[in-house]
Amino acid sequence: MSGIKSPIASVIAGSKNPRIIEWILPLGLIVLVLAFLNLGLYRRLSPQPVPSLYTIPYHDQFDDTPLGEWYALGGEWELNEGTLRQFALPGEELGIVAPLKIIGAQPYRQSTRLQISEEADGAGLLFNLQYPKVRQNSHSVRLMRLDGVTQLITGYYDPFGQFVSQATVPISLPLDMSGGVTLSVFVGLETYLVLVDDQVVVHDIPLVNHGGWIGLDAAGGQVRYDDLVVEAWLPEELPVADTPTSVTTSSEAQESQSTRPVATAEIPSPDIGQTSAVEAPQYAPGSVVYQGQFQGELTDAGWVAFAGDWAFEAGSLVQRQSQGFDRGIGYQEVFDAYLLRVNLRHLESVGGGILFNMSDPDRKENAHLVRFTDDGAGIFWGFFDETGAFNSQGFSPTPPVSTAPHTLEIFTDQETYSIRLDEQLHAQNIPLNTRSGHVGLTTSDSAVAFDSVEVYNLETGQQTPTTGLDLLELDIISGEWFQEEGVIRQTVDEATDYLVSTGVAAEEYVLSVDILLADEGDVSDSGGGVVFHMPSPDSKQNAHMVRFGNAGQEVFWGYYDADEAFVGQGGAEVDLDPAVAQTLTLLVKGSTYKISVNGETVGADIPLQQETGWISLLSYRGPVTFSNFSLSLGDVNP
Amino acid sequence: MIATLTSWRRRFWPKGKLQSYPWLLYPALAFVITRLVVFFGAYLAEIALPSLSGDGFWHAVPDNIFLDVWARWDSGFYIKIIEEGYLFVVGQQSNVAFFPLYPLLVALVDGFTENVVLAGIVVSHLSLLIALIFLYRLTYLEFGDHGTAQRSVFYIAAFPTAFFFSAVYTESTFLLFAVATLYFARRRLWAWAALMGLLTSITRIVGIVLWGVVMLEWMRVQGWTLSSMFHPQAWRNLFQGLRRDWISPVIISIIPLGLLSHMLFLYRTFQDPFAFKTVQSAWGRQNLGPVAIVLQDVQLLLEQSLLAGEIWWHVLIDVFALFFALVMAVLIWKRLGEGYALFCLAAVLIPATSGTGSISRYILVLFPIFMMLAWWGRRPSLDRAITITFTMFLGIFTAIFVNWVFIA
Repeated sequence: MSGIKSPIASVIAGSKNPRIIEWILPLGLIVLVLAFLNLGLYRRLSPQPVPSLYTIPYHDQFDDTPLGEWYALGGEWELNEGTLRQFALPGEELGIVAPLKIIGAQPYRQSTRLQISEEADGAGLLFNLQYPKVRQNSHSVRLMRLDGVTQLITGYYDPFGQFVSQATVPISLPLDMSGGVTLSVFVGLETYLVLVDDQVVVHDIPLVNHGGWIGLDAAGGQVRYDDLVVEAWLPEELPVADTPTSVTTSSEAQESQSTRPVATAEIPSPDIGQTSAVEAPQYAPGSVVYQGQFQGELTDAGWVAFAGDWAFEAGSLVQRQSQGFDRGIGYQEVFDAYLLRVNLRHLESVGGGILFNMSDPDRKENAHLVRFTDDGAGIFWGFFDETGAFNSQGFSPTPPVSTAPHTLEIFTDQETYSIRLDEQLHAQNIPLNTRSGHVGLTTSDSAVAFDSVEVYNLETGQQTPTTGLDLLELDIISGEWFQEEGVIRQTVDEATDYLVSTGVAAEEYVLSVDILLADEGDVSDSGGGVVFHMPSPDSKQNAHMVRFGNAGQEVFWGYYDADEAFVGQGGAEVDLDPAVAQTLTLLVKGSTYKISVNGETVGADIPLQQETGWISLLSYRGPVTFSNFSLSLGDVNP
Repeated sequence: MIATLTSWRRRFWPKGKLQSYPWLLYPALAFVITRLVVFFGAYLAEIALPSLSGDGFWHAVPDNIFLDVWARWDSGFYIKIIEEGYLFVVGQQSNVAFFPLYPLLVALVDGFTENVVLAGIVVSHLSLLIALIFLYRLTYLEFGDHGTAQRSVFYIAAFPTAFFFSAVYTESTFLLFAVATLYFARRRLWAWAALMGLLTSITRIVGIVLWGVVMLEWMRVQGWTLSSMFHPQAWRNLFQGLRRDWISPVIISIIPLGLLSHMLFLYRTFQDPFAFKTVQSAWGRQNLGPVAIVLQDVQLLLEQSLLAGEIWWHVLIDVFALFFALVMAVLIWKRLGEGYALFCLAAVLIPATSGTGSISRYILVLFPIFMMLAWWGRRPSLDRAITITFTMFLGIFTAIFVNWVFIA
């Protein structure tokens, strides 16, 4: 250090007590620095409080919104043609938060109109954000397209920004939502519920964060938002009748997982929200019509597996494949108006459930489904359409699902069905898509043991109501059929059979229909009638047929063989006016059937080839008009 | 260069009191000359060269180019910290990645300047000036040669990425506290070293390395070094030293308190004490280890065309800077000792475990490298080569930086 003096050394040299300079001064400075650091961190560098610029009620049409006052959580947001628009790259999660903070004690409603472009992954709402510039500690409700499925995903972001799902429900919306969909969330004091196009989809989802900022959410692709409404929500404005109280527990939230059914149709409006506090369905189980004996071979016992690894194990029917969606098995018999009761246990993961009113035991198409969600947050229900696309009809949260046994029950009549889980009613009066059919079991991404499957007749105290054409969901198999006001007409005049399925499979019934045959052109061989006991709506194999022929001069009946070649069983000449509709009545009971024309029996005790099956109307050369259709199901009297 | 400056000084300032204070004069000269170069170079580059513009290329002080050019890239994060506080957005680049001392100092000065960019520039330049003084003194302490000390301050102030010393970045502040820590440690003023080390640890994460470096220096003073650790006598020396002076290691261990305070703040605010590390992935950083990272970058460079100019040139520079620092660390170990070498190694290897990005900036504060270069710069030819190379690239890099092209 020759020739050079340290500034500190100089100070030390000038000090009478070097110890002060060497130790006490720096240690004192250390204390000051730590104090400066901590004061600075907590008072100067901690997230600055943000003022709430808006108040409720708040309504934004996005015509001239000052977006500079909003907080973008990534992405580019702009006003465009009266909407708020953003572009996100695939995989990006973006958001924007309005300068509107709602206190925790204020129940409120937030809704917006979403136009989600075809390439976008999804979009939704953010609410109860604890800080307007980050997602952590916030709630999210999002419509997402995952693996070709539109789903409603609700949940929250934890303090580390990880999304925790509270409910994942397939939604019956088209994949292309560019036409617009209204998403609303009603935020209460402890729970919230979500509506899609004014239909409640999930409810009683617990709030993790109370009060906070509101925003909009987007994932990948272009999304437009319009009509953002945030307003106070008064308790009497509950969107569902009778606020549920007893079924309020959501599962321990897990990481978001998706169910796979495809959704394409509009949402029906079941009375979800009905709980045990609500009156149970009027139906009561009657006699047992099927009780599963889970021994031996599956096929010998009447079960037809179509996906998964199914086997009888220790008196249970077990599906062992824990990976893969829509594993299924069906029972060969057809039922209508019944109670299906299934006891099941989850062996690995969650996703067990039942299928019912299946058109065929070996496929899910046209079947109804009720099962646990993959994340164990609850049960959901709906039906598969003819393409296998799933149409959601509702969701209900359940207590945490474990390996404990559960009893799942379906009450189904000709119009609606109800769901009960562990003696707790979760939904009722849900519209049926298919009115009867096979019953089955299903699992998704889970291994499940089904300990018992029982089917009971429903004791409704009366015969099931008569069904008219307008109440049927007709399915055209061939020909050109036009329906209006209780009349259906087939117009193709080629000399061949044309079928329309009634969508009903039944065992015993009385069917009556007025048939008006072609009255112009070459009518010498026109005819019309009924095909019944069909194995599936579009197959005539071993099905029975009765129809008018020769322009109403005869009626004949018989059945189709395995090659769908007609085998006659009988016929009768009738002299009818082709210009007047004739009434054909069919009574099916036990192992025979009876045919009447205009009230006169033309055939009786005709043996049946099959015990049950689907019913279709038949036109041979059009135009043929059917009217005054009636179908009385159940125990019928000759 | 030094000789030229000395002759100028003698011509224009033949006698004066300042000549008695070379530790003040030469750092001040280095500071003024290099800052004039980068300031006017930056201004000229900004107005004369086409700049990148559009979304993401912001201008903090558009009506004052002299100030505006020093707020680029990461400067925005520091400005946001000061204006809006820390934010932790998981999965996105958020300002929680940056340490608090520099923003706190800038916020303090901002109370006077009422211009956060100006405040940042003031803090950066004051820090640089004092850092150069400490570096001069430390170099003189190690080599006992004024020429070497003079060259060290000019070399570091004229290093190609030395424009960061003028920017709203932490380079100057970190350099100041890091070099001061070593200076006081070498002077055996352990409490002062602890104070400076603590400040370094809340400037950047690698500052925590100085805890070990100062402790090593204390152990060296007691007669224990890494190279002598297998000798029983070294351990006897260490234990005797502990009995004699146990208080110094305790005080040195105050250094991590700054970092711990920051982590406690992060935990209480964002529930993640390692939030500064958590967000690194948003910058594309993955903890693969330095070897895998370097191999990955080298492979990337080999797949590109150097001759056609289709190459990620800043990756090339960063990889070169990493190797340069590693080689220099070995040479520093031999000449200046393990403390200096380990500081250099840790300061490049810690960031290199997750990526080589910005290494050319990180080595700017590795002052032992410049002390060694200054020692070798006794040979005039090497001195000229270093001076010309450094100043030329300093100009180029400054022009690139101010025009919003990412360098480091």
